[in-house]
Amino acid sequence: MYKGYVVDKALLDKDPHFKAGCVLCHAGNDGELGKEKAHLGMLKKPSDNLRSCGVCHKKVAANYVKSLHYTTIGQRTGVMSRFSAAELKTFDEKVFEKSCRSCHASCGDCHVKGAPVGGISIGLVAKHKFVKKDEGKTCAFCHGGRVYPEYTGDYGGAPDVHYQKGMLCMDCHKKEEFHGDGTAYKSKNEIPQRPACKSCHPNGKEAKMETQVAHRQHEGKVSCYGCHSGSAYRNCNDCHGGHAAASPGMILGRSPRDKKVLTTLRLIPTVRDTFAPAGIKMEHFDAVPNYWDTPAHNIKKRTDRTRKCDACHVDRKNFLTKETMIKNGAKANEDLIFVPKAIKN
Amino acid sequence: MKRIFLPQFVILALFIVLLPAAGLARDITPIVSTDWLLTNLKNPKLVVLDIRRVEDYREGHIPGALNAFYGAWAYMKDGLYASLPEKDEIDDTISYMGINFDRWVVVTGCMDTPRLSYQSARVACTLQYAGIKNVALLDGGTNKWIAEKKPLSTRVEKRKAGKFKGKYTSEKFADKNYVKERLGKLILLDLREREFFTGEKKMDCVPMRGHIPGAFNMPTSCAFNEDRTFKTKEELTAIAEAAAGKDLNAEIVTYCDAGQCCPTWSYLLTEVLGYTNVRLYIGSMQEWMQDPKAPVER
Ligand code: HEC
Ligand code: HEC
Ligand code: HEC
Ligand code: HEC
Ligand code: HEC
Ligand code: HEC
Ligand code: HEC
Ligand code: HEC
Repeated sequence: MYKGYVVDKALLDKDPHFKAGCVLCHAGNDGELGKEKAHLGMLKKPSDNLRSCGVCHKKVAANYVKSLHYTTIGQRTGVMSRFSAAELKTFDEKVFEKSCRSCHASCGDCHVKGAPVGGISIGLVAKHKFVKKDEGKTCAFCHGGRVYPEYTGDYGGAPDVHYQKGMLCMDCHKKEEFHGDGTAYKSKNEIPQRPACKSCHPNGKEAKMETQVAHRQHEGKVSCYGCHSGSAYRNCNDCHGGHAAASPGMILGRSPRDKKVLTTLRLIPTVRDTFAPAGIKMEHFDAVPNYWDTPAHNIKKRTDRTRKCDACHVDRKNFLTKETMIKNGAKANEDLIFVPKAIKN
Repeated sequence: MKRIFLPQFVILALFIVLLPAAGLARDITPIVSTDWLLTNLKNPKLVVLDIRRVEDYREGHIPGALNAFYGAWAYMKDGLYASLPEKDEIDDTISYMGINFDRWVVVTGCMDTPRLSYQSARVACTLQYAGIKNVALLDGGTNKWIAEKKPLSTRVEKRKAGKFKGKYTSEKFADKNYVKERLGKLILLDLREREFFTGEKKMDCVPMRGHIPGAFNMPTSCAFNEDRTFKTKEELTAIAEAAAGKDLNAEIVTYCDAGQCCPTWSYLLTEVLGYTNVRLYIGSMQEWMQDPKAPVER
């Protein structure tokens, strides 16, 4: 028998969550002995109702309502500037509520049961223990398209140096990012608790003088990923009608958020006809690029760029150019082309 | 935990029996048993490298073992699945673990699938490539340790990083040209399962079916018992002699699909059976078969 759904008996006495019986969260009838009657009205996913947890974890549940994992508003923020006012209204009604909202995370997805991906779930994380964290069985599934396999090297490439050193997601990310702090942010870029390379690797601590110089010279000019992203990451090429065909690649160009900075770009899956089925043409499609800056989770100390300054200054290896740019993309893509100067000796 | 109190002479006897024929400059046997490891766990010279995933390591590992995920020792580069990292990267990885030349390094991994069970030898061969002599594989891996209910720890071990600079040997690995130039002169061992050798089956990553002309088939799985421990020296000798012959000085190259499983026999041939001239071809069939004109036999 598949054991993924078996509840650990020993937990029932120890763990305060089970004091009031299964019905507290799952409803159903615990007075009945037959399966049919006992399961009548039972909830498979109790934490869809935040009150299941909120009765005891009041603060967490109250904050969580405003967090990005709950609202998934980040996905709306990402596309909304392509829409006219009328289109945004259609989007909110037809697409956002029906499609985007459905992939929000419940408390249970991070603490009790691996979220189903493509209809398949690993079942309970640890026999119904309410785990604080278990990244490989929680975050890994929802972020299994890109972040997680890039991080472990399963996507093709070396594992991120931090994985190699035994670090997992929560060694950099903080729970406040996920539970929220009570403010309804519109995008991940507004979250004050998000991690930053610099907070753990301040300038001046490098072992070699040349490294210190390289870092200082590029401060505010090249992001850490620009030099330290170790290998190709997932890009959405050739996407049609929202169905993505992903392929590996590394693309260097200007950050759409800060045009002075060279960074790693990722091709996102929104193309001209993505929302055509919903009757949205995207009037301002050209105003927003198809490439976005991405914190690639595949950091290496040594890459072809840390080894050779000319990789950028002369060869422009992996740089976005007119030729490599996707066809029929947004006009704004052209603003992302970066041509670094040759180094003067 | 009675095993800890095995009389000294029994341990010594076990130790001597497993010593390699050629008597290389080793202080530990090339394959150590879980019992041996348990008795030697506190030895200050010992370093246990657990190459399983970070998540598995955190769930429970051999007390004191360091986590050194396999992915850092063999990864996709230039389209080849399991390339050898650059020397300075191997130096970094070994430095992170605080390992230096006089440590005894026991490599242990996950044995859940055949492919996973071949990984430890790849790491061992890489450590030897960097010049570390006292390298050993844990017989049966962490799976056997757990099955025997030996102690586990969930403490994440850290060691002070060292400054390791490898003394790299050029005698461990062969590249495509090396094999091409010596075709017909060396003994080639194809370590894939039989259907892959004959060309009935093929991995997706390998462009063409078949094997290098003149190669002998000696599947990696044949080195293992059902429980993924290694067969006895006598059994291994019989298999090796049938494919590679009895001349311990013959020039041998092992290969497989992508360089993930050939290190196992390569390691056993040199370290356990005393063959003196064995190299492994890491690019293996994934690289060889990219050339449409490459010599192939089906
Ligand atoms: C009946 C009250 C109650 C309800 C309902 C409840 N919890 Fe708890 N929970 C507790 C208590 C009490 C603790 C503290 C246990 C401790 O400190 O050992 C706790 C601790 C936790 C922890 C931390 C576990 C640890 O290892 O420290 C998590 C995670 C958790 N709860 C998640 C949830 C989720 C998710 C829900 C909703 C599905 C939920 N809880 C519903 C009472 C409750
Ligand atoms: C049920 C699926 C699911 C699970 C489980 C999940 N995520 Fe997410 N995550 C998402 C979705 C969907 C988004 C996009 C939210 C948005 O619209 O902004 C997201 C966004 C993020 C972001 C960026 C936005 C932010 O809130 O900072 C980070 C970082 C993140 N997830 C990390 C994690 C980590 C770490 C874990 C495990 C502790 C995890 N996620 C578990 C689905 C999930
Ligand atoms: C996207 C993943 C994610 C979601 C969704 C999530 N949590 Fe958490 N939660 C975490 C992480 C990560 C931690 C911190 C683990 C650590 O630091 O050890 C945590 C910690 C906790 C704890 C332990 C006490 C504490 O504050 O450290 C409780 C209780 C808890 N969460 C309850 C909830 C409840 C209730 C919900 C739903 C309202 C919820 N969580 C939703 C990721 C999540
Ligand atoms: C404190 C609330 C709580 C209590 C009490 C509780 N559960 Fe759960 N249970 C959950 C959460 C949360 C999930 C994961 C689904 C989700 O995200 O809401 C879950 C999921 C499950 C699942 C997997 C369901 C599926 O098909 O996906 C089973 C089985 C289960 N619980 C059995 C039990 C049993 C049996 C008991 C009583 C011994 C029990 N639960 C008590 C909160 C609870
Ligand atoms: C070495 C530290 C580190 C580790 C470990 C780490 N992250 Fe991140 N993560 C970051 C940083 C830095 C950012 C960028 C934050 C920003 O400025 O927006 C980020 C951003 C993200 C984002 C949002 C960016 C995007 O691509 O949309 C997600 C999702 C995410 N991380 C998930 C994860 C998951 C899942 C894991 C575990 C597999 C993980 N992270 C491990 C540092 C880390
Ligand atoms: C939460 C703190 C934290 C964050 C955030 C973080 N790192 Fe690290 N990083 C570490 C630790 C710890 C190590 C291991 C250091 C050691 O063992 O000497 C490390 C190692 C490294 C190394 C290898 C250093 C070496 O000497 O081999 C590089 C390169 C690196 N990080 C780059 C980055 C980049 C780029 C980012 C942003 C994407 C980042 N780090 C974010 C903590 C962090
Ligand atoms: C212009 C390219 C470039 C950029 C941008 C860059 N680095 Fe580096 N980094 C290097 C080089 C070159 C080395 C030295 C590599 C070596 O020793 O082979 C290095 C080494 C490191 C190391 C190891 C330090 C040590 O003591 O050996 C860390 C940690 C690191 N970088 C972090 C970062 C972080 C964090 C950022 C962003 C704030 C960043 N780097 C941006 C080029 C860059
Ligand atoms: C990831 C690509 C990349 C790599 C690798 C790189 N650079 Fe740069 N470098 C840039 C970019 C982009 C700028 C911003 C100025 C510009 O437009 O050229 C820059 C600026 C500079 C400048 C300042 C020029 C100015 O007047 O603003 C110097 C000097 C320089 N780099 C030297 C180096 C050296 C030396 C190395 C090798 C250690 C190196 N770079 C590696 C991309 C790179």
